Amino acid sequence: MALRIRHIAIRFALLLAIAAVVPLLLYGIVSLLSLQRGTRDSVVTGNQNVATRAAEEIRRYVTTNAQLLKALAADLQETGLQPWQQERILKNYVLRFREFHEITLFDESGGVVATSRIGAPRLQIPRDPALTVDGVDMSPITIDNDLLPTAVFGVHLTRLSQPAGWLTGEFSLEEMWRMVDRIRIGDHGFAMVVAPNGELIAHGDPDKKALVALARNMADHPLMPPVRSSKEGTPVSNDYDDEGTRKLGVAIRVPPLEWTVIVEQPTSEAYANAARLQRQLYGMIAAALFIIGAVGYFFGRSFIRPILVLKRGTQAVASGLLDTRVDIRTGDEFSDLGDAFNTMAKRLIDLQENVKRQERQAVIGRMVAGLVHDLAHPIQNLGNSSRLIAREDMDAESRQSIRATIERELEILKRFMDDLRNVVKPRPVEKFPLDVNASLSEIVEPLRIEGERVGVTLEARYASEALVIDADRFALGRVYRNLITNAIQATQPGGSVTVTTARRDDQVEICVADTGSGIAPERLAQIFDDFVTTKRRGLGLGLAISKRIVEQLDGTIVVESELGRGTAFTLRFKARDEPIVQAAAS
Amino acid sequence: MWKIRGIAGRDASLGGRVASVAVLLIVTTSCGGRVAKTATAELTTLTIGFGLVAGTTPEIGIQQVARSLALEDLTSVSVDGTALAKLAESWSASADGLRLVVHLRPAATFHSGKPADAEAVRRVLQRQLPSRLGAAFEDVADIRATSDREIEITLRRRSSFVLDAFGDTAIREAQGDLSGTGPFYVTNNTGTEIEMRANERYYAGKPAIDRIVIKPFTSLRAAWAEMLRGRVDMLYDVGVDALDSLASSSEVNVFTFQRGGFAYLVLLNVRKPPLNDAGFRRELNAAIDRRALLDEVWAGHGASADGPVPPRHWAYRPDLPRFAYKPVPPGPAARLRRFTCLLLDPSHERLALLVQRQLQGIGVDVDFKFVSAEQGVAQIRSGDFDAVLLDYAQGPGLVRQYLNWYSGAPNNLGGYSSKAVDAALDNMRFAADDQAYKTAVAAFQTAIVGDPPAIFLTWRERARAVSRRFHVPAVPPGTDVFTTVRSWTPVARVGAVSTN
Repeated sequence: MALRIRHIAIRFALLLAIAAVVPLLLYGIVSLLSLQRGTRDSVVTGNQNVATRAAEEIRRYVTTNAQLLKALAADLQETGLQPWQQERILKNYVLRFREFHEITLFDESGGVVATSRIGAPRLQIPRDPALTVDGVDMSPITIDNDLLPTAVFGVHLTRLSQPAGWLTGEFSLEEMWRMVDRIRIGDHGFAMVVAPNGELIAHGDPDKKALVALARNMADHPLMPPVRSSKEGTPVSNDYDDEGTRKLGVAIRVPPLEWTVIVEQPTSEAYANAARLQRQLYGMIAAALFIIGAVGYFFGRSFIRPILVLKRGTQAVASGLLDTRVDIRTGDEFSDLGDAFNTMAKRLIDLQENVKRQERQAVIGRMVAGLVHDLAHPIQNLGNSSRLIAREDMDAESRQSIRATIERELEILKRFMDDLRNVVKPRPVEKFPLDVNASLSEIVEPLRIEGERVGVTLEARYASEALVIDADRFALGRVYRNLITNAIQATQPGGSVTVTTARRDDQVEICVADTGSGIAPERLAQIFDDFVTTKRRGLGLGLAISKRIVEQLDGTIVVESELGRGTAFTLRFKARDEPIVQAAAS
Repeated sequence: MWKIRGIAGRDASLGGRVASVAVLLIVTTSCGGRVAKTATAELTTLTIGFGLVAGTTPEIGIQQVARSLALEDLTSVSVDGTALAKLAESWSASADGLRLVVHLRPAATFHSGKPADAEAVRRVLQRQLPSRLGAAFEDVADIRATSDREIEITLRRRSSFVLDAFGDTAIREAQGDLSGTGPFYVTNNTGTEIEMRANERYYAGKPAIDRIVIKPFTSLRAAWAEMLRGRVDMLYDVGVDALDSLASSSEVNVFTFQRGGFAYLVLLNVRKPPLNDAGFRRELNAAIDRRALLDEVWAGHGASADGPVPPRHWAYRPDLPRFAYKPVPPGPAARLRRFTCLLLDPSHERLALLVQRQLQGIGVDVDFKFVSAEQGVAQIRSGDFDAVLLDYAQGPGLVRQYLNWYSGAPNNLGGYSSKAVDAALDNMRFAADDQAYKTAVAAFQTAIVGDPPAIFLTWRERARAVSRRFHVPAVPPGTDVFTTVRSWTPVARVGAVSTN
């Protein structure tokens, strides 16, 4: 079943949502997703660049110093300097290049030729180099008790293609530490350097240098496995948890040293810009939604309000408040509609006045006609009778007959006046417990004779049980009489009128049905109105009075009729079942 | 009248170190009877890491730290050389300057519980002032205790150095004892570790730190490593290599200060040629690029020693002649001049190499030789040396200058003698007021620059590193924060601040 939206405001809101809000939300979602992905990629790429540069700097740092030593070796082995001159050169090198704590020249047998040290050298010839960098042997990195990573470089000297000793340098990686310390990303992003065996040899975070001092092994760092399997010089990155902090890490191997440089930054800082942009985007979308909503609300309200005003006005007019007017000043078609409504309402009042006037005239006409019709005959008879009774040659019997006629016509007039009076001022009723069957039979029996006289059978079917209601015996009797009389009058000779009583739940039902000609449907609605009659004679007040009496007794009266088949009037009253009430009725 | 001035001599000068090397102080003090031992786990403990000078023994190195905590001088010395009240609460001099009255703190007691009264202090002064003043001690006529808390020193003539000496005279209960009036006392001294406890009777209030443990390490860097491992709360000295790293740590506070008048210099034996030539000695000083030394050795931490007087001393005048870097390259016919320089501390190697290179620039070949501290002291005492590279006490009180450079003074190890210098030092000694003192200092500076007894290098800035687990109160700039250790408090935290 299709969804029906009954309210224009909701329709308008849906229109606004579909036309503006939904596209904006979709745009916002797409933007946010793009922003997230884009900034993450950008941050990761940035950090990768930092790691790559750091790795390159470290590589260059080590290889440059290796080349320095190599250059020094070339100077020493080719220049034929005296040992004291060589010593001076070595000392100058140590002073010039802080990375070298000591440089010592050995002969091939391992004897010291010259050293930069004041006192005995500490170095020895590196016999088991971990790797060779540009022809310079490099021992494995060791962390001494002084906490600094050191390594020994060694250059094997030759002269005339013959081995001519060794130039060894104690290479302090302090400058590398300083370099690593300078690698910063934001306020909390630092770098670290890990040896091939996983030993941490440098950490840029001053608070984490203790890890170097504690000989922390980083082999289980989340980035170590992927970086080991990656191509040399290719950075790998990932997010991971480190001591409760979510971090973005980038790792890259440093060729040819096989060290790993890891650059870490808390994701809260790394993506801070993205988060800020995201919040700004949220804010802007929310603001846009709010503005759209506000504009839509105020615009919609101004659009819908005239409709609602018209609706209320129409409802008021429909409920009878014809003096309702609407005030719409939008200056558009709604204004025109409002003006048309007001004109229509004014026209309705005029029409209503016309109709009322016409109805009054019709009622007065009917009443006058009825009065003339009903009064003419009795007055005529009274006139005739008064002229006759004034004749002196009338015998007593005739005089008596005329007198009876006068009294009968006067009775008719009296009854006529009573009915008129009753229309204007209904007589109050007095309620007492009343046996319906008994009260009805009092009326039915005399009228049975009247019915037989005109060939209409009057039949009564009373309920077997006692039916007691609170009613006015005389007023209700008048109702019975009116209904039965009308039924007899409406029935052709040979027809019948049936009076029944019955108990229906808590109600007592009295039905007067005839087999008469029936009442046309268009006249059925006004059958209980004043001055409405289907007879040739009468003011048409009987049923109106009967309905009024029934309603005074808190009952109902309904009519059902079918042309050619007959009419049935049904009275219903609330039953009284209390034994004491029933005893009083009887 | 004199300006209040004095010297601080708590940190070991060469003289102190020499004395320490020459006399191995092995003191085992048990204070079990004084204070009931309590569980160490409940005590607030400060662990101090002391990086040893190579060649020295652990006993010697950490003893000086313990002394600075256990013993007190009558006065302490501010950065500008003025005397500050310490064990001496106040002092006054007569108008003629011949009578000096010292008022001791009424509540001061030795660690044994005995009062540090005037008589006890008098005995210490009587014993120590001769070495602290050298020949200037003859200015002192009499030292006597005029009451429980008052000492009167009668002088034969005015002597500004007496008050200076108060800042270098540790008051102790007995000769060679570490029982003094300081905020901490020694409870255990194994030679490789010293344990001290808070002095509950300390006149200025019991320290918040209950216990101090002093541990030696083979080097400054080794001590630094232990601090990074969380096993040490304080580094007594921070090496220049670790300074930048520690300064940027959020777990450590680094405090730098001018090291109380200590300067790096090459002490020259002026008895030996060619060092007996004043002109040559001037040449040597002119060949030194002190700024380069600071930058390449100390990473800029410190100040150029372009004269004998500490630049922060109140009497220092920057307008006086100073040693300037004006190297004179040797002429083509110049002969190579050569001398030997002893090197006692291998951590000074880089400094030595730089000095060597700078002197090579003027055709002077300095042959540095590393010797142990013991051997070095022996050679110095016997005069069997040409030169020696030292971290030498030059102040902050100028009585040091008197002891170092006055003819025949006890610390005049190079045999230096200069009439102008002697006259200036005498004028300082007998100065009647601050103005006269300042004038004498100016004359002294000028005389030294004209006839230098040493190659003056740099005033070194020193650094202490303290874990932020301790709150250290603010100190005036340039002041040694270790002098306030009594006032340090542990930052409120669960558990002990260091594990031992």
